[in-house]
Amino acid sequence: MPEEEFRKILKKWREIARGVDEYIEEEFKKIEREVRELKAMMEPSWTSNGTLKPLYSIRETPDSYIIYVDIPQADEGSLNVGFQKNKVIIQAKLKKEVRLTGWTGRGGETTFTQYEETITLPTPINPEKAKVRAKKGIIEIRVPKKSITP
Amino acid sequence: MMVFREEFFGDFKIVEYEAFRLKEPGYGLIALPDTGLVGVIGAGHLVKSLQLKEVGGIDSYTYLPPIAVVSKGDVRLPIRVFAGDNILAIYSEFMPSAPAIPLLARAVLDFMERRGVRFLLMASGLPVQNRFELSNLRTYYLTNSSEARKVFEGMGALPFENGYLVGPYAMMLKEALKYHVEMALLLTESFLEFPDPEASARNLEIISKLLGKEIDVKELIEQAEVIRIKARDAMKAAIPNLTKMRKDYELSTPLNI
Repeated sequence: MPEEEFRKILKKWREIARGVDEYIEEEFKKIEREVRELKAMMEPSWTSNGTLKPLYSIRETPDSYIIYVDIPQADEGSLNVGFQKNKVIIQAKLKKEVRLTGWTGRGGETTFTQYEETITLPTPINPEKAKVRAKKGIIEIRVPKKSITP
Repeated sequence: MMVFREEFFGDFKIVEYEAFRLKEPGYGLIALPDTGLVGVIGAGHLVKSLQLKEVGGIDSYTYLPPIAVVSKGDVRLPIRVFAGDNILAIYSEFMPSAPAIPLLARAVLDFMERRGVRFLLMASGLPVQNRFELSNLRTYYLTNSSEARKVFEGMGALPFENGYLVGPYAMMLKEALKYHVEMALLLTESFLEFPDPEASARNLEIISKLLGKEIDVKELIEQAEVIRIKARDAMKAAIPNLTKMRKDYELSTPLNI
């Protein structure tokens, strides 16, 4: 087989292999996302030691993540946002202890004192340039993605 | 749970716990989990303010999780029916799967029509990306009633003229076209994924004017943060359903209208 022909076949083969890899990766990501969602649905949003897990949402731009976290009744002065590789760790005390009265047993007997959540982002982040704002019990965290040098 | 009357609409079962009669003109309010739980939070406050009585419930062993609601020691069905004076309210913190919503819509609308509802009212949230920055929330309306239009415009609401609606209220609207009822949908700017009692309060101010009944939203505003804590689980449960329904279409640009 002439060398040129062999190169063409090899190139085509590599393209197919890359396509298969991308497809498998995408499918794994989908499964991971579904498992994560299912796990989150089954996890209670509180613990009996008085910790509430806040609702949050993540928006992604080409170079950063914008995270909104709903922490009603939180003392914004006690808010602590920490960063670790691709994780954002949020802690805040409640302004006053909260009891969800009218709810029999379970969390109805718990006194809640704080929020705590660890949010895992898809890629590493650059915490030095992160910006945090709080308003009416909602926090906005803007954190740039870590630029990956090839 | 006393059963006074029970009827089946396909796989949905409507149970009345007692006999009730709506005064004329009957208004029917439907509240299902959607954007920011705006409709559900608002309906909960309306039921409390107007002291509506729980007169029935709706269930489905096919389309709803096997849930029994226990309220003040009584066993109730997951979709709750409240009534009082000329108002009938359908309230649910649980959402059936997307394919079941048209069936639920037909069951509810049929039931409402036979119980004397002449005006169908829905109030929800309109997701906006910059909700974090907003203090003055705009409300949009969609109605086939000239009388309601006057009230809404008098309250500063704007007509919803073009765009997409996705979710349980979109389905309800489409099904309601087959019934000869007047109807209105109010949409106030809100968070999509966080409970938004402020948006509910804005809707209720307008509903209060339309119904000619005083609904004090002061308590709702004061209790907003506590309500947001209580509503976290219902919100968390609603999000996967809204994602599956492609709620993101609401933020997409229509190509040709």
